[in-house]
Parts: sequence; C-alpha cells; structure tokens
Amino acid sequence: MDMSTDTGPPDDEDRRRIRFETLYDATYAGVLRFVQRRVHATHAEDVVADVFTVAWRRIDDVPADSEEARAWLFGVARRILMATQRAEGRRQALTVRVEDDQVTGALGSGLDHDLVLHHVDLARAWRRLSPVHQESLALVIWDDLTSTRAADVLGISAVAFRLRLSRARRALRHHLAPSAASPTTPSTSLAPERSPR
Amino acid sequence: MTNLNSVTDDRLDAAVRRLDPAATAGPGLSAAEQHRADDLRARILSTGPNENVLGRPPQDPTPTRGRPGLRWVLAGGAVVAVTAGLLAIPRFGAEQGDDRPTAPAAPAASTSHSASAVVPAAPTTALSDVAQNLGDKCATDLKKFASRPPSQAVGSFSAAQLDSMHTILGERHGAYDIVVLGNDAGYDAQCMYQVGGTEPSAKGGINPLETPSPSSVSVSLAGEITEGIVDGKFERKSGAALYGRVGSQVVGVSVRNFRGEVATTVRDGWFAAAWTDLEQDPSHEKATVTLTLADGTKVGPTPFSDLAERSIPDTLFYPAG
Repeated sequence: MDMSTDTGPPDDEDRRRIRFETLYDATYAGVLRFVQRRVHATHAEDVVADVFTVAWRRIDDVPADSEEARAWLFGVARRILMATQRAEGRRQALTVRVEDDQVTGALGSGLDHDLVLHHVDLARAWRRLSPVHQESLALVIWDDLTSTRAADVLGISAVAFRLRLSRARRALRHHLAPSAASPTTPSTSLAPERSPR
Repeated sequence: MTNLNSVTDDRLDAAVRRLDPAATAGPGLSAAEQHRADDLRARILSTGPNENVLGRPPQDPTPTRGRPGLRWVLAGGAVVAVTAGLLAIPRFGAEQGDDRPTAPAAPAASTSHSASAVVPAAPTTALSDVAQNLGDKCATDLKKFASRPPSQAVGSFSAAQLDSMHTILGERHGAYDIVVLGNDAGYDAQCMYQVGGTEPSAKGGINPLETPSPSSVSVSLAGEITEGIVDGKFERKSGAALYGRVGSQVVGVSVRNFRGEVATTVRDGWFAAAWTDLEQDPSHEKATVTLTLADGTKVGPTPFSDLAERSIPDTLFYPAG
C-alpha cells in the first residue's frame, strides 16, 4: 500500500516538489539565522524544521516573489516562536538575542577602543529596549527586510511598522544618551522592562 | 569619542548590525548545518505535505492578513500608551467610582445609537444646544479642577490649552453625559457626568494626539465604569468615547466595532463617537475606522490599532536612570 498522500496529478506534484526545493535552497540559511537570533542555537534547527514542514504543506500559499516568500517564512517562524513562548507562560512579544557577552568575530580583532566601548554601550542600550522595539530593529537591520516585508512578518501595515521603527531608533538613542546610563544601578531600573532573555 | 546617540540612522544601524548574534555564523551554512539541512529536506520530501514528518504535533501558524497573533502585544502597548499619556481627575466625592484612566476598552454598540448606517456629519455641523451646554460645563469644570491645588495643570489641563478648546461632542449615553473637547494644538479633554450628578470624571493628555496626515486620523479612547452595591443590588454603569484628530481632507468618519456601526461626529478638525455598554475586554482592536475624504474617496476600514495615537515621547516609556 502506498502511504504517500495523493496530492493530485503527477505533474502537479512535481511542480510542488520543485517549487519547495527551490524555496528551501534559497531560504534555509536565512530562516536558520532568523531563528538563531531569537532562540538558543540548540533549539533553532527544530524550529526551522517546523517552518519548512508548514511551507511544504502550504507550498501553494507561499508568495512567488522571493522577498515576499522570505517574509512569509519569517512570519511562520515568528508565530512558532511566539506559540512556544506563550506555552511557557512568557511574555507576548518576541525578544531578540544580542551578541553582547563578549566582543567577538570581526569586532574583536583590530578595533579601536572607542568601538569596543560603543559595542558595550549599545549592547546595554539594546537590553533596555522593549521586545517590540528590538524586533522592529532586528527585522530591518539583521534580517535585512524592507519596511514593507517586515510589516508582513508582523502582520501590521507598513505605515504602522515605519512608525514603530522610528520609535525604536529613538528609544535606542535615548538609552545611549549619557543621561540614560545608570552604571551603578543597572538592574533595578531595568527590572520593570521586559528583559530580552 | 563619538556619541552613538547623535549619529544618523545609517550609522546607528551599522553599529547595531555588529550586535547580530548570528553574524559570526555568516550568511552561508557550515558543513554540519548543511548536512542537517539536506537531511531535513530529504525527510520532508519523502512524505506527503500533510504527513507528520517531524513526529510532533503539527504547527500551522501561517501568516494571515489579520493580526490575531499580535493582538495582545498591541493591546498591551496601547494600555501603556494611554497610561503614559493620560491625565485623569477623579470624580469628586464619587466614592463608588471606578475611574479607569487606562481603560481603552472595547467599543461596543451604542444603545442610544442603533446599529444602522453611519451618518458622517459635515465638518460645519452646528452643535445642538444640549451639546454646547455640556461642552461649556465641561470646560468650566476643568478650569476649576485645574486651578485647585495641588493640581499641576499640565498638558490638556494647562490654562493655555483649556482656553482654546471647543466642544467636539456632548451627548447622553445611558447613565452618562459624555463630553469631548479638543483644540487646534491637538490637546483633548473628556468629561463624563453621571446623569443626576454634578461633577465629572475628567481626562486629558500630557501630550497631544499625533498630527494626522491629510487623509488620515489619529485616535484615542476613553472609558468609564462605575460598579457598586446600591440598595442591596449590584449596579454597573459604563460609557466610552472614541475620538481623535482628522486630516484636512477628511469629511466623514465611521467607526465600526464587532457589534456594528457607531454614529460619529466630525467637527473642527476632530471626530468623536460615544456609546454605553463599555466592554471590559480590551478588544478595541476589533474596531475599524473608515474615512470619507472631500473627493468622496473612502479610506479603510483601518483597524484602530493601525492608527496613530497620542504623541508620547519615549522618555515617558523609558525614564532615565
């Protein structure tokens, strides 16, 4: 007995398979990085597997345009991650990890002192952002999405996203301002804010 | 050292890019990652689309045009925004009062406005005597409240803003007379008088509402719930108003919630709608706003949560230190 699901004529099945393979090869790495920015690396590939299982099941719904398709997959990944967070009783906004534990990679070699200090300040400021602001910045800067595509990921209008992004940058600048720094009591002032981790 | 808080967006973004936790992995896959990716692809393609290839309960969070997954995030954000931006004056002597300056609760159908076709009022519509009297009373009461120590009288309640306010709406809805005032600077104030009472609960903003584009609006919600035991019986009264600033091309605004259309007034650069039966569930995102422009064009329906609200500086969200 053939256990495979009958999905229509062979030519249609071939078309779907080719479409999925093309999508998978073009986007897997990007989706993996998207997820790695938001969960620990040990869980990232499990989430990505869920994302592409959904994509396989709904391949006919995936937008034909490559950028729209990427945003569609990111949207699926985001919803899976949020569902996981809800199941764990955590906050409702998706937080974004930040490389702040140490100065690594390209930043760690041959850089001047100012940049290292900026990095530390920036990491501290990032932690003080709300998850909504973190997510807005990450979608554009790290995930390399346009405002329109980032809005698709979040399920909001492009206008609303641009407003949110503008506020996120403003908030980040505020946290970078000298008056916003509180080196002696960093944790107490941050406590009411949602921690990014 | 250059301050990052004063650099351009591009330079700020470039600095943030260096925080990327995935940057060290690079855009491509490592050999181990590629091996696992190939394995997953083979496993998926070896099954039909509807089979449970991963051996876990299927997840189907396909992106939708709506925003159910984000609703609570945004509802929470809206509550914060209203909390940070609203000033509230408790009702004087109202011990049973349950003033909720942060209650942007669900717009519900008005019992005094039956669910029927919306009637956008022309911007030049004259106020009824009832509305004008209610507006005058609200303005007088607010000035009186704001002048009482230890009132700080900032934002909407400062003398300069109160003096330039005009009446946008004054209507009775259920147990409340609801009044909305606004001025050209974008400051708003709202009075809610219990029928038979004399002093209102009043609300205004530390900051004005956003200035809308010519073909858009900025919005705010306010609500009031009073609950208590009267003569041994539980009583609950409520009222709500949704209002905001309209762009120069907007001549009509219709508000629709999950119960139907709500009649709306447009006047002097503002619109307002009021109703009773305030829902406690913060599901106001179900409300939509449709605009009619001067050339007859319809814009929307736009979800309430997609519209600009109060112009609140981030310093209110993230106080220094």
